[in-house]
Parts: sequence; C-alpha cells; structure tokens
Amino acid sequence: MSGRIVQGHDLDTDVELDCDVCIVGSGAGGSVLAARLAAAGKQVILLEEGGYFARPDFDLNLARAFSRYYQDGGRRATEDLAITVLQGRAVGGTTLINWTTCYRTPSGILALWQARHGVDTLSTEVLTPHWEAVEARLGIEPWSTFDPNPQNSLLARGCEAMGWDHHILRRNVRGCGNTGYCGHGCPLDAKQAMHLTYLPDALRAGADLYADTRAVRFERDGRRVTAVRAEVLDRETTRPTGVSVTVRAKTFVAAGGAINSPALLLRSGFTEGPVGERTFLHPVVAVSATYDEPVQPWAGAPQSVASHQFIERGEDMGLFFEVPPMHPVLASVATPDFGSEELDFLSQLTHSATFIALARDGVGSDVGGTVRIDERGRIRLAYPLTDTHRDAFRFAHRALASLHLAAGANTVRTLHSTPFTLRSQSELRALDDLPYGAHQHNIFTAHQMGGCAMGSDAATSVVDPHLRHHHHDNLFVVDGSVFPTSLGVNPSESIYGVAHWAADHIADSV
Amino acid sequence: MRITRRTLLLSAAAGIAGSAVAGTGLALAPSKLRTDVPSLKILDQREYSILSAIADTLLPGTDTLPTATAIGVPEMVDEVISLMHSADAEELRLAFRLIENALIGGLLDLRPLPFTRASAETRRAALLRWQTSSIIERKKAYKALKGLCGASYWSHPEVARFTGYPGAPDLGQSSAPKPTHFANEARP
Repeated sequence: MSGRIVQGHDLDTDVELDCDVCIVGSGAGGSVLAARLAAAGKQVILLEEGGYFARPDFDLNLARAFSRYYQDGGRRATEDLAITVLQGRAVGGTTLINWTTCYRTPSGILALWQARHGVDTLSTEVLTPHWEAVEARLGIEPWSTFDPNPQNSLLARGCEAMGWDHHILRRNVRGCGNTGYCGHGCPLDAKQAMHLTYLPDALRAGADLYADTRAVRFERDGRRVTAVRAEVLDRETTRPTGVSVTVRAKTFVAAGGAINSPALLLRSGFTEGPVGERTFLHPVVAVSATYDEPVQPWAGAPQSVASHQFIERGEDMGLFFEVPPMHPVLASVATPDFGSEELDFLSQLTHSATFIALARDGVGSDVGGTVRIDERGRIRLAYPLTDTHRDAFRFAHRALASLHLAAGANTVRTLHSTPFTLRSQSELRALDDLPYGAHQHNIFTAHQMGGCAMGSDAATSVVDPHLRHHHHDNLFVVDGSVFPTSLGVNPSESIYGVAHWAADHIADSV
Repeated sequence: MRITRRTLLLSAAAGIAGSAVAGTGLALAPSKLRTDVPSLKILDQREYSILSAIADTLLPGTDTLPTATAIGVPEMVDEVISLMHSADAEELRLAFRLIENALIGGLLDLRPLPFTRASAETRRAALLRWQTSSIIERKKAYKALKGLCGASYWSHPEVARFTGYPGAPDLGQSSAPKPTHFANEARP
C-alpha cells in the first residue's frame, strides 16, 4: 500500500502516530534510509520541517528560492555572521537546492576515521556496493552531456596552464538541460534529488511523510527514546500553527543534517558527549575576475570541473577548487561593497568568472565549530577562524588569482571589504599582505558536516561506528553530522552511501 | 545578529564627558519621515523611512537603474523581517534605530544628525564606517542589511537585466504535472 505526503495545511488537530521507525529529516540521509527500511517491510514515518515543493513551484527567482527552500530564508550564518551558511530546508533537504556534484568518500578520509576516531565499520570496500547502488539510482556519472560552461572551462584552462590537477566531476542528473538553475530547484526534474528518487521509493513502499512538521524534541525513558514531539508549521510564515504531531516508534533516526541534528539532540536534553562540537563547513573563499570574452557565469551546469591539486598541504589545511553559479542575486551576496562599487561589479557580470576554494577543515588539529541553542531558542553556530584558516585563505587567494591570470583574465578582484585588484602575476605577492579571516572578506559554506561525530569512544563521539547513539539504544543519527572530519570533497554521495549502508543494520535492530 | 545597545552607547558615552545636554538633544533628533509609506507587515513609519534611506544608500541606482525604494525593496525587506524569528527581527529593528541615532552618528560616524536627514554622501560614509567598524555588532548589522536589500534588489527583472542576465527562462515548469502521493489530493 502506498504511503502519503501529509502537509501542514492538512492538519487542524493534534496527531499521534505509531510506527516502526521515525526518521527526522528527508534529505540525503533520511530519504535513502526511509526507502531502504520501507522496502524491508518496516513501517516508516518521516518528519520534515520544510515544505513539499516540486517542479511547478520552481519559478527560478533566487531571492524567492532562498526564502522558501533554504534554512532561515537563506540567511543562516555563523553567530558572528562571518560565514554565510547555504543549507536546504524542504522535502529533500539540501538535495533540492545543491549543485549536483558527487564524489565517493576519499579512502584517506575513511582511513583517518578508523585510525583516529575508531570508526572500524567503514572502508572503501564496505561502502563500494552502496555507492554503486546510489549511483545507479541517482544517475551519478561524469558530466559529459554538454561541454563545461565557460566559467568551468576557464578553471580548466587555468589549471592546464599552471600544470595543476583538474578533472570532470560527477553529477546526479538525468536529462539535464544545462540551464544552471540547480540552486533554485531544478525546473526540468533533471537533478535526481531526493523528492524525485528515494522519497517516492519510500512512499511507494508504504512510508508516510509529514512535511511542514518540525521535530522539537525527543522524549526518553532511560536509554530508550519513546517519542518525538513535533509542531506543524504554517508554510508561508514558518510559524507554528498550534497543531502538534507526536510519533511513537521502536526506533528513531535523526537525519536533519549537520547543525539541525545536533540542535535536535540539544533541545531534547541529550547533552551526553560532544553534541554540536566539531562542526565542519568546508569554508569557502572566492576570487573573481573579468575576461575579454563573455562568460555568463549564471548559465550552464554550475559545476563540471574541479581541482584537487592542493588537497594535501602537509600540516596546513588542504584546499580544493570549484566554481559557483553566479546569478545576480548571488553575485550581490558575494561582493561585500555597495553603491557604485557594487554596481561596477555587477555591471561586468557577463564577463566575470568566480573561482572558489573550499578548505578541508577538521583533518588537522583544527576543531571546527560548535552548535548550541541560545536563550531565545535559536540555533547558533560558533565557528572561530584561526591562524590555520587564515593561512589557508591566504594561500587560496594566491592560487585562485594565479588561476585567473593563467586563464587569461584581464583584472582579478578579491571579495575583501575593500576589494583588491591585480592584473599581472607580478602583483600576486601583494595578496599575502591583505587581511584574512572573519569580516575581512566574504566566506561561505555549502557543505555542513559533523556535530554528532561517529566514533568508538563515547567521550569524543556522539554515535558509535554503527551510527547508534552512545547513550540511547534505539536512536541513530544518519546524515552528514556523523562525519568526524570534513571530507575534502562535496559530501552528498558520502551521505547517500552511509545511509544506504546503515539501513541493513538499522532494519535488523527494529 | 546580536546588537548590544549597551556596548554602543557606552562607546559613545566614553567620548562625550561633559556634553550630556548636547548628547541628549542629538539622541532625540527627529527622523525625516517618508509620507509614501505602503502597507507594511511589521515595520512602522519611522523604521520604514530609515530602511528606505539605508536601502537607497546601498543601492542608489543610476540614470538607467531605479533606486531600491523605487522598486519596493523596503517592502520586500519588511516582509522578510516579519517572517524572521522574533529575536532576529527585534535586533534588526534596533539596528535601524542605532543607525538613525544622531548621538551615535555624531560620535562614531562624524554625523551629528539622523541618518534620514543626512546627505547622500554623508549616509554613504556612515555605512562605510558600519561596514569596516571595529565594533563587531556594527559589521554584522551592515552585512545583514546589505544581504537583505541586495537579494531583493537584484532579483527584480528590470534590475537583473543591467548585469546582462537575460532573466529566467520558461522551461515549462509551471504547467508540469503535479506530483502524486498527497494525502489530500484536492490540495496538493
């Protein structure tokens, strides 16, 4: 019997439900897990705080997309506002608005987790069949339908000239029209996001989804979670309607993603272990440049080329390079200045390319950020930027500027509060003297990981190597928050793979 | 974003020993209120006037581009604020009052008059000081306001075309079939 999608406006009285497994969050982890558990005959209920949106809703207005499909209306950020946090909030989670890039978890990262964090359950050998399964279901393949768009081609050209690694990356798309609107909600249903794939799989197998339903807290009796209390939200205002949903289950899964899963545990009073700590962001810095040729950085598949030339930098924080889709709204968000300076930057958008550098945090001695709940009930993320980060940002700026110049840029421009421009390799050295860090230049994150780290030691982890909470026998966490470090690659496929792997033993435990 | 009024006012007070009477006068200097205030969700007339002045300073337009107020940016931001967590909305509305305040403006921004009464050049200099301030709460306020105003402004089709962006294509999504599985098929 097919399951149902229940939306906030369908509920006008309190609801109490019973099931085998209640999963909080319908993103990359929750949907894959729900589909596998439902297929195994388990009665599954998914709770999702965001709304259900599909192709007819995607009007390709980015400001509206931010308000509807992104956490905090697109305004989520670290507590000091130094880092803008792009994270999804909708059925399908961040998969609804991500830029489709997929990588398997690097073997070195899995080895690090085993050696340093006691994660002896995951290896390339263990995860490969799960990666193969999700790749088949989601159409994950190297991008080849169209040539890389001009912005990605420039990254490749710059890397080629510098003799640096670059490669075509893999995307979870089928029938992609190369439009460039992945971050707005795919208007062609080409992006194989969860709402088109594993979620319908779960529904067909009998799972029910409650959208517009925000899990407030778990309740427990000793080591067993007994229920999850949720509030129904008004889709337009995101305010509670006064209607509650209570789910009792044999097993519970937190799959709301980094930041949200730790927050749920904290609201529940589950403060045993380092909940919220070691939250990692792949902090992103960007450098723009103008070219003689038209670039139109908003058009075409947003990401098709990447470079991992500097992913290993010894004791220093590793970096990988990609490009972002630069629609006018995102370009405005990216540039810190205003007035005539902002107009000047936006007026050249057609001929602008932006390269981004993502820092691989948590692999060295850096400890990342911490999620907490403040006195007004708001989720707060503190992410201190240290000398290690500043060194990485300085290195990244020099590398990205070099790439632009090697690719033929006529003017390179940083996104500092007072932007610095340069036009030749001889000026690169001046980048070393610029200030780096919080509020010196814009910093972003589109990848949030950690906060409920997996590990064998309950003192330094929240869940065990099987993703079971150290202190609750029937509670699991299955999303990117379980990663003990960041990955150095885009995290979506790692989350799909871990969820696919975890389904077998979670099903056995019910 | 958390503005600490105490922090800002203490900073101001530290520099004005002996000028309490003048300071009081400045603090109470009236705003220049706009009279063309549309229907608003949460802001009052004064807040709208301050926001309009801020938005038009951030996004002043050109001969061919409209100002932020001309295309309704303050109304759009008003709606966004109405949907925020109440604590976030309170902090942003406090930021409006602090930016407007002539006493703080005089001491920290060399602008001893309300923001709404200042010239375009003076307003611009004031926002630059907020952008680069050593007081983190001022930097945060600037970033929040810039993001809110910029997203609303550059999403306007007339404005976006200035960048060369042709606008979003119609890819048939509005007429695509609606998904199934809804519990209430009459209200998908």
